[in-house]
This record gives sequence, C-alpha cells and structure tokens, in this order.
Amino acid sequence: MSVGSISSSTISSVLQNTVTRLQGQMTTASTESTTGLLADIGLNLGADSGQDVALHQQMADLTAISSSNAVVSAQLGSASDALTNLQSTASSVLADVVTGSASAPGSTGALAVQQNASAALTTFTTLANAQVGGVYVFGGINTGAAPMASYAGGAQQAAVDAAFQSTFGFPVTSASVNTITGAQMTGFLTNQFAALFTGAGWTGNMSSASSAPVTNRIDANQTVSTSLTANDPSFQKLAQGLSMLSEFGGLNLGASAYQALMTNAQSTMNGANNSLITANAAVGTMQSEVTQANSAITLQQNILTTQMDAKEGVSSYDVASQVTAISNQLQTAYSLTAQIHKLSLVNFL
Amino acid sequence: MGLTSAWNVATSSLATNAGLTSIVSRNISNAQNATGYVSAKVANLVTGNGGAAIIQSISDLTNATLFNSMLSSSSASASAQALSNGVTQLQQTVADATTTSNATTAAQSPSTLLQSLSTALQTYSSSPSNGSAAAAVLTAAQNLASGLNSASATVAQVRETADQNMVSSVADINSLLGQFQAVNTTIVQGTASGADISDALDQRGTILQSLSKDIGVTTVNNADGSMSIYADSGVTLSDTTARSVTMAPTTTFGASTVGAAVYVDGVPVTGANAAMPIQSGALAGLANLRDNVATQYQAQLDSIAGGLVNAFAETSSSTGARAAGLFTGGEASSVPGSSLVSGLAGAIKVSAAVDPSQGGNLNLIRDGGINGAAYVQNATGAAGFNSAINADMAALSATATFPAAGGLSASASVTSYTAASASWLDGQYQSSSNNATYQSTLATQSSQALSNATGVNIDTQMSKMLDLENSYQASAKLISTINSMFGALLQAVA
Repeated sequence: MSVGSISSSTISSVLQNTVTRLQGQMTTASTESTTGLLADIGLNLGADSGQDVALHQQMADLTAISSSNAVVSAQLGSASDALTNLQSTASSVLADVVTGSASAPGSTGALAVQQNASAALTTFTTLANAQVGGVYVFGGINTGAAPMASYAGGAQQAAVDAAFQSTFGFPVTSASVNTITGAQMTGFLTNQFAALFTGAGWTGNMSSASSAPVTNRIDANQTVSTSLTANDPSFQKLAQGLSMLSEFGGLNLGASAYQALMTNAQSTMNGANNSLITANAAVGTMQSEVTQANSAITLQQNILTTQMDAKEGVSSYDVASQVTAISNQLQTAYSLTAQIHKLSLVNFL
Repeated sequence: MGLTSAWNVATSSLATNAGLTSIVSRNISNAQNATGYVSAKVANLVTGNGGAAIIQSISDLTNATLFNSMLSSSSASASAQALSNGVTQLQQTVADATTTSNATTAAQSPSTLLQSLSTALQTYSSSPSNGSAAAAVLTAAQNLASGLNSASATVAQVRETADQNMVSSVADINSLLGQFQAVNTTIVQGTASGADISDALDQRGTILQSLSKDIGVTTVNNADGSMSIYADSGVTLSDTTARSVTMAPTTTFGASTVGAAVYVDGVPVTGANAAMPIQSGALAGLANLRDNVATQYQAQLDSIAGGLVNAFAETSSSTGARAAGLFTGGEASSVPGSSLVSGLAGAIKVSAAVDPSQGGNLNLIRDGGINGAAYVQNATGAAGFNSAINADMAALSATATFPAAGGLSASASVTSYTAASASWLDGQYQSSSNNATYQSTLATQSSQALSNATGVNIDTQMSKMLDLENSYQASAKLISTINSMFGALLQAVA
C-alpha cells in the first residue's frame, strides 16, 4: 500500500465517529433550545463560573431581603397608622382642654373633658399595643409582650394616687381637694406626677417595651432601625397629659388649682401632639428608607438578571440554526454511510 | 526447457496462487477487526526453481513512527479520560451552584445551600419571634451540613474508585506484560527459524496497544526481533523478562488518607515520593485524581466547613472564649480558626442544642447560649431580638482567613469561598473535559493514520483476488493445454 491509501476500517469508523459526535451536539443543542440556558453551565464557563455563582448568591440575598422588607413595611405601616390615630386623639383632647379651661371645676364641661380624656387613655393603650401577626410594633425588641399596661386600675394609677396622698396628705377622693392651691397643683404636676411618666416609673408601671429599637437589614449593606418604641417621649407625654385630665379633671378643685391643672394639661398635650408628629415623621422616614431600598433591590436584581443571562443564556436564534445545521449534517452522514457501503467492489463482481 | 518443466511451473503457480488467496482471506477477515491492532499482510515472492514464483515469507505492513504515535496518543487519551471521569463525578457536587437558591428545588452544592441558609436567616431576622422562621433556619443549616457531608463522601468515593481502578489497572499491566513476554519469545524463535511470525507481531502490537491505555510506554526493538518496553518515565517494564508492577489497595479513604504508590520494579512511579513519575496512561490520570485533584477539593470542603463553624461561633461574655455554635465539628465545640481541620466537612453537623427533635431549643439560634448561660446574648429573652442573627449574616459575608491547603485565595468570606471553590472545580471540569475530548480526537486520528498506512482495504484485496482468479484460470488452462499436448504426443507415439 502506498501513501494516500485508506483502510476499510477507517472508512466505516470515520462516519461512525461523525454520527456519534453530531448526535451528542444535537442533544446539547436541543437542551439549550428548550431551556434557553447553556446545557452544561459549569462546563461552558469553567473557572469563570465563580462570577456566575456570586451573581446567584447576590440574587438570592436580595430576594430574601425584599421579602423580609415586606414584613418590615407591614410593621411600619401599622405603626404609622397607630401614630396618626394617636395624634388625632391628642389634638382632639387638646381642643377639649382649650374649651374645658373656660368651664368651672366640677361643671358639666369639666366632666366632659375628664370623660373624653379617660376614653382617649383607653384608646391610647389599644393603639400602643398595635400588632402585626403577633408582633407588637411599639415593643422595641421585646415584640412578644404587649408594651402598654392599662392605666385605669393598673399599677400606674395606684402610683399616681399614692404620690397624691403623700404630697397633699389626703387621697384623691377626699373632699379636701378643694383646698389645694394653684401653686401646689403646679408643683405636684411638674414634679411628683411628671416623674412617674419617665424613667423607672414609666417602665415599671406602664411600659414593658424595650428601649432598644428593632434593627433590620433592608439592603445588602444597609442595616437601620425599623421601629419606634413605646418608651418614646411622645408616648410618655401623651399618657401623662391624658392621665392628668382623666385623674384630676373631674375633681371638685378650687378655681386656681383647676386653672393650674388645665394650663399644665394644655402644655403637656401640646408637647405630646408635637412629639407625635415628629415620631410619625420618623416612622415615615423609615418607611421611605425601606421603599427606597426596595427600588434599589429591584434595580440591582434587573442588573443581576442581565448579567446572568449574558453568562448562562443562549440566543434562541443561534441554537435554532445550530439544530438545523446539525440535522443537515446528520442526514448527509446517514446518506453517505449508505452510499459508501454500496460502493464496494464486492457488489460488482 | 521442456513440457515437463512448463507443467511444474504451472503446478507451483497453482500452489503460490492458493497461498496468496489465503493471505487475501486473512486480510479480509481482519479488515474490521476492532479488538486490536492488525496490519495487512503482504507476501514476499521470489523466483524459484525453473523460474516459478514462490512465496518466500509473509510480512506485516509496518510503520514504526505512526505506531509509536498511536501508542503515546492512546496513553494520553486514557490519562485525560480517567481524570475527566473522576472530575465529572466531583463536579456533580457543585452542578447546581449556578442556580439561585429556591426552596422547591433539591439543592446540593455548598454554595446553593449556603444561599438557602442566608435566605432563611434574613427571613428570621425580620421575624425573630416567629418559630417557623427559626425552624426554617434549622432546616437550612441541617441541609448545608448534610450537603457538606455528602460532598465529602463523594470525594472519598471518587478517591476509593480511583484506587480500585488503579489496582485493577496494575493487575492488567502485569497480565499484559506476561503475555508480552510469551509473544516476544515466539517472535525471537520464529525470526531465528524463518517461520511466519506476522500473527505474533500483530498480537504483540495489540498487547502494546492495551498496555499503553494503562501506562505510557516507549519501546525499543532489539536485533533478535524481541522488544523492550519502558514506562514513559524511563522505568523498565519488560526487558527479556517482565518486571513486576505492584500497588497495595487502600480499603477506606478518610480525608487525610494517602493512597499507596504504584511501584514498577521496586521504584515508586506515582505519589509525592515518586522517583520516576509516570506521565500518561490511565494509571497516571487516576493517580493525579486520587492524590491531587480530589484531595485539594476535600481541603476546600474542609475549609468551607471550618469557615461555617467560625462564622457561627459564640463568644463567652465572661471569659471571651470562643466555642462552636450552630455548626459543630462532630462532638467537639472547638473553633478551627484559620487552620485546616482535615475531615471537618464529613463531620460537621448542627448543634443538638438548637434542634427540638433532639431536646434542643430553637430560640438559641436567636438568643445565643448554645454553649451555656455565659454565651447568651439576649439576656432579657426579648422576642424581637435579632442582633445575633444579623451578626451571623454579617459573619457569613465578612472576610476571614482560610487555610492555604485549598489552593484558593486565603482571604475570603465563607460565601465567596464557596463560590471560588465551585469555580475552581468547574475550571478543572472544563479543562479536564476539553483535554479528554482533544486527546481522544488525537488518538482517533493517529490510530486512523496507522490504520490507513498499514491496514486492510477490502477493495484492494478484492481486486487482488480478481488478479489471482485470472492467474489461477490461466495456470489451470496451461495445465490442461500441456496435458492435451502430452496426450497428442502419446497418441502419435502409440
């Protein structure tokens, strides 16, 4: 045999090998055309696949954050609603105080203010105990327990009564309340009474909220406070103003003591109203942070999706034309196989 | 010259014709021989007594260059294929790393399972009082631990299979070397006596071809027709006598088990202490898989496990001591730090203290205190406490120092280390797979080149057969003509 010769085994094996290779390519191409992704991403990307894995990790992280942000948003929304209601309660009581200060002590007008304040105090407790799915939104990190105890009949009322008794020497129910002077009343309200609504008096008798606000990761690198606790000054002032009116507004006080009470109540309620507006604004800022984080996440996810597609995706046009080309080649290989096997000298002998 | 002489020539022509026809049939019968190397036979014709053509000897068509290139490419292909098969098996453990974690798909790669754990932690951090979110963290953590366990088991299994294949390859080599020696003897005797050794040569070629798949060989032809074989690193495999190839099997592979070396003629040819390491053949590929690639991946898995134990470790508020938290390495509560704990990926598990089914308390994930009261972070037991969870998430993406044995960047976060590990393995997968495809194509081409140069073409043989048929008819016609001439002569005499 000379150079340029070919053996019979080569003739048949070449076509066999071609057909095997083409069938393998066909499987790959058909997988790619159905999924729109590379058939074997690891094989195609090789050492580059680390970037792709990192993209998927980021994607999963952002998806998780965006679903946890939904929970945070619901809590903030509920907090904002509660604060809005509290603020409208505060301003309506404030309006009552302004009109009530013109009434005589013990008159119907004065009693109406007292009753409204008393009802508002109940509303306050309910709103401060707002919850979403068993999570008390004003509880700080102590979300498992209702943050606000009821005033009426609770520890705080007992403490207020005791403070009254020890300051004036007679109980709230005593007829001697009309002997209290305006200066005495002002002194009691700004010192002994006010002290019960801050610090240990507050946390001991009324609030079981934690002063530590809940913090949440709302974006990959952004961890912020996402709650307002019931130990906020706005809650304390509101409780102070409401319980002041509810406790002493209906008493048969002297005119000067009544005026002192009303002046103090007005300034306290005014302060409460203002700080509730501030608190609501703070919650609004938190909500907007979460919203902004969500939009940032959506944008980042879009970018990640584009990048992942660029790495893993295949062009459906390319794959379709590949399938056609491979199928043509296969048909050629089949017909060649048939023809070459016909082309044997044996057939002509 | 007389009629008798013509008669004799015609008769011997018939015999020669029969011999040539038998060569044609031998060639045709081997045309599609797939079992091994068979070359086409050609007859060497000489002019004998009275000018008759007679078959002096039968020889093989040979081409030493192409034959050697076929041997070396088949060795390289076998080596690349062995490595690629093993790496493909390893790569299955990260095949889903390029998918985003999703609770509905059964994930198994460390990076995807870690994603799931981060996702569960993120959900838990926004609802720390939610028991089912805590249970989801526990499940994700258990899946991650068992994912690492099974990846580690896969590595051990790949190494064990490679070891078994090496043992059977060694047995194969010894048996082939034995056969080779027998055939060599036949050839030496046949060369000396002038017998037909073409079949023995084919057999020797086939043996060499099989041998080259197990171990890379070089051959040297000796003057007496015998052949010496050396491994591609130069160690003698067969020279007059076959040398013994030995390897002790290893029954179980732990993370730090070192597989036994292959010895040829007492010289180690694989492993770290190989004096003359072999370069190609399945044996070389399997040894590379067992001793290098798989062990490096094991080190990476152990590093990932160590990184997890570190990330979730708790610090004592009184002594400042660190102890393994959510993830522990088996029974011990020790924290590996930046040192490699061999086999940690196989032993890592979720602490029983957080698993309600083992009498644990899920809230310890949120509150700390897996190692006792000194480790509690949420002293008041507040239901909304999530700083520990946030710290865990931060620890997963914080840069830490990883052991150098994994061969990846030592400064990485657990999350990026798992991605780097998947990337490394995919890189090995791609290069070994491409190399296997390339070497296999090369091997096919070189064996086709050899087949074209020395193999049988049926059409050529058929046309030869037609020639032989014609010449047989002519010889027969001659004999019958001479016969009738003798008949005419005898009639004239009588």
